Amino acid sequence: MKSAFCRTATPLRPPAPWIRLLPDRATLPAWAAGLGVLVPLCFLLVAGFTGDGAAVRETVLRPRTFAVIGRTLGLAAAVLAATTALALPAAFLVVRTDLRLRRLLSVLLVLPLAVPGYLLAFALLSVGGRYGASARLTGFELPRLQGFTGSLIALTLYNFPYLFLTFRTALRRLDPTLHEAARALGHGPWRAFRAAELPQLRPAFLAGGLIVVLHVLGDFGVVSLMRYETFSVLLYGSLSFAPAYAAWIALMMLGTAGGFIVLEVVLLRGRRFDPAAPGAGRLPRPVALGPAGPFLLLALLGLLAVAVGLPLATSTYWAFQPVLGFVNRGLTDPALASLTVSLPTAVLATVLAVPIARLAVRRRRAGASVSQGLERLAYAGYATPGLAFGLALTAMALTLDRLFVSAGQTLLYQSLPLMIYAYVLHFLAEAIGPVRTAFQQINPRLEEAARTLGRGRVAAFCRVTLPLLRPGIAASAALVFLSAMKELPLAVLLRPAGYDTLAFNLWDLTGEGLYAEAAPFALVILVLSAGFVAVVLLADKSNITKTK
Amino acid sequence: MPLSILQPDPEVEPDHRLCIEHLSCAYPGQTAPAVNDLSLCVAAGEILALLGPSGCGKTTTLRCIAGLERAHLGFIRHGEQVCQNASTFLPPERRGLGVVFQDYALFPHLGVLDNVRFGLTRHHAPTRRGRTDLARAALDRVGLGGLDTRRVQELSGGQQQRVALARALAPGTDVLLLDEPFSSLDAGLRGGLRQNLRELVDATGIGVILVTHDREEAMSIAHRVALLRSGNLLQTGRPEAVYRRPRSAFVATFLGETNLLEGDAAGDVANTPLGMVELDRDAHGPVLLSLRPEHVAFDFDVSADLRSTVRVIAREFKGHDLTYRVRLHGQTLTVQTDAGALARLGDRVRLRPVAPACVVEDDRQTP
Repeated sequence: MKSAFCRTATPLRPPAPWIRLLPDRATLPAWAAGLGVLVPLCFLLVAGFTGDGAAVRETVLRPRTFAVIGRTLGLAAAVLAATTALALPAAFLVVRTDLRLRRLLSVLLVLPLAVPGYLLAFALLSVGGRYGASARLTGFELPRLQGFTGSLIALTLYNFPYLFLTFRTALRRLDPTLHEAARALGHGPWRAFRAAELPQLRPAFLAGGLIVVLHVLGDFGVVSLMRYETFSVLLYGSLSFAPAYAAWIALMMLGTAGGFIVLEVVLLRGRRFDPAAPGAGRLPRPVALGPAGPFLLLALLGLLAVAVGLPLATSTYWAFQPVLGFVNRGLTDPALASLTVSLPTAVLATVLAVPIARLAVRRRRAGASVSQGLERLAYAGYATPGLAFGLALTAMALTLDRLFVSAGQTLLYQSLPLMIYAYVLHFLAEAIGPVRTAFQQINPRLEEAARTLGRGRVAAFCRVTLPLLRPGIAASAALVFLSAMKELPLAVLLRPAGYDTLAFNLWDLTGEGLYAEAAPFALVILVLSAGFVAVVLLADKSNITKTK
Repeated sequence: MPLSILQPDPEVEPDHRLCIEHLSCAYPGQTAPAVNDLSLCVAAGEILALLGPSGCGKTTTLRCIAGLERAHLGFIRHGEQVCQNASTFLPPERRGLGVVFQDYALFPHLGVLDNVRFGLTRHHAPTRRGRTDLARAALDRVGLGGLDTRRVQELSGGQQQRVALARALAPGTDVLLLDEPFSSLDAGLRGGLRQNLRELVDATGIGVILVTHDREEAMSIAHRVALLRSGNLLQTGRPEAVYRRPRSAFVATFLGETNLLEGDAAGDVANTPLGMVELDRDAHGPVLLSLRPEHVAFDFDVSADLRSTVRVIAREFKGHDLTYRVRLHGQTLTVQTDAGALARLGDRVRLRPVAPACVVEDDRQTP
């Protein structure tokens, strides 16, 4: 008798989920990405508890901290309200009415997404006031927007596309019979919309709203240029003289971000929005706008003019103005610095995204909730406010440097690898999206077919799945690359000496009021943003043609 | 915790291409195994149809044989090579089995020829030209010669199916696993392709396991059918034999329409609502009988026992024959006759079995 002892036999009763999770190699990249964010965040606690405890407590609990908390939450609430007030009507006009140019507008209204907030701040700051573009061009002095108003406008303009997108999708998916049923039950058109359709938009509002709030919380460029003291500004300001205080502010930022994420989950829990019955599958009759149509069209075009046209116009105008001469920064070195960070980021983030997207799409039969949770873990770097993450990495680098190199020397602190590490984890979520979509379109039987034809696991992946993933991988890498070129808060905190990126220069020079000097950087970043939009649209288009 | 059954690997039978024994496979999180203690063999030149309702474990069985799913117990041998036993698990690429998937899984980024050449390595032919010739030969064998420069998306469903077949055959396998290969084709095309497959098997002597839920497909193409329900193998045999002598009520109804009668057996006859019925084997006590519609006929002999009178409640004319539904003590029976036997709706008639009824095991699922 041959040795037939049951080496491969596994018990019939499935083991507990966490046991099944541990040895599975497929989950390792997701774990790495999640822990890569969470572990450095622990060093914030280390930094927060170093130094004189009582003194730190006193600085943390002073009234100014609470004022900043109030200002941050207030700004987030105001931006959320303003973006909703813009995005919901805009989405409704584009999806449900007979508005002219609504197909074109549906695309155009997403464009502001590509213009970074600090560029909008540059535009708003440099157009108004006595020395602003409008005063110099026309003699008419626009008010110089600063502080709360300036922050609110800049953040609203670049964040409303996120809500617009989710509202647009949700409105398109709404079953028109809901509205018709409400009308048949005696509701007027407005009440029918409010009673039957508005509640259905709740998941869209919460999903988009969470993104907006997290962006406001994580924003540094706008509020610092507008000189409105929120968490980010206070953190940056106290970085050098009170590092423990800065760590506590970072922890507060994290707590707030976590609170909002939990809030979204809680508000969605126990509610079901999936249709009770298959819908009619037809489009509702578009609402006739009548004479109001042209005015509403003008309003939307006006919004676009401010959100996209203004940054373009101001940066072009200032680019042709004489510079003062005492600051002279060439474009070459900053562009090289940005490239040196962004190219490795794009490659590494995409490489990491492939196995995570694979895990998310090809989830194991029983481990579905587990792999979903793991995929969320990979989004930790996206949800963590940039400055808080940067500070955590700085704290970790300093601690590790103290262990491994002699005093006064640095190895990790302000090193390029650390910056790239931060960028990769921050932009990982963006890389997962297109790769994930590409994976969803690949029949899992293809790899199995390759296996039965004699190819090993690796060969089957390389010869079948990888070629089919190529468009998705290219889109992911391009998206991450362009986002990394525009990234500001992480660059401000983590850039090594001599690595002043394009975004940093624009922010720095705008902060000094040197608009003519800042303009070339703004133009370059606008070109990059246009490339970003082109990639998004192309990826979207290739998906559409593929599914046909 | 059930332990792996400790027993020696079965003897190699020269005629058997593929042999599986005591195969069991459970998905994590499910209490009932998807495949439960399944044993069967395929001989050279034989088509074995795994037949059963959807979810009965037939595709899982196929995937376990191919090594795509890991059966937690059991023995699988391909030719003389052990693919799985208690201490071995060969990955799919080392089993040398040809698989045709339900949706064919043709590689969309490769052309027809490259698809077929995919499984060919230096081991099959040292030069690229040699591999191309092998692939062309495989395409010729399925009747697709001359299509090798086309993209797979440009092919019709039937052509795609044949490309998948050629791709599975090209590496020279002697066992083919087919997962519902005809299900996504229209009825007209199916007949021809089934015939092609049968001819191919007869010509090459490969062994085929064909998974299907279509009883007509299984019975028309297979040399043997194996009927599965809930992961259990119920009966194996030639289609005619299984149809005539089903082991259980489920097998009888799954393979065709039948009348199930409860009766009281005494030797080779049983007392049923239809009267005394001849049995196919000796039995005693309460039994369940299967009587096919074509084995019942109307009896116009008025002198016989009146107890078994039935009323005609429906009549379906089908051209070459007629199907009647008749009512007997609250049970609806089906009678199939040639067009000659005439009865009208509402008529009271008597039924007479024209063939012995088959004693079957009662495995009807209680709802």
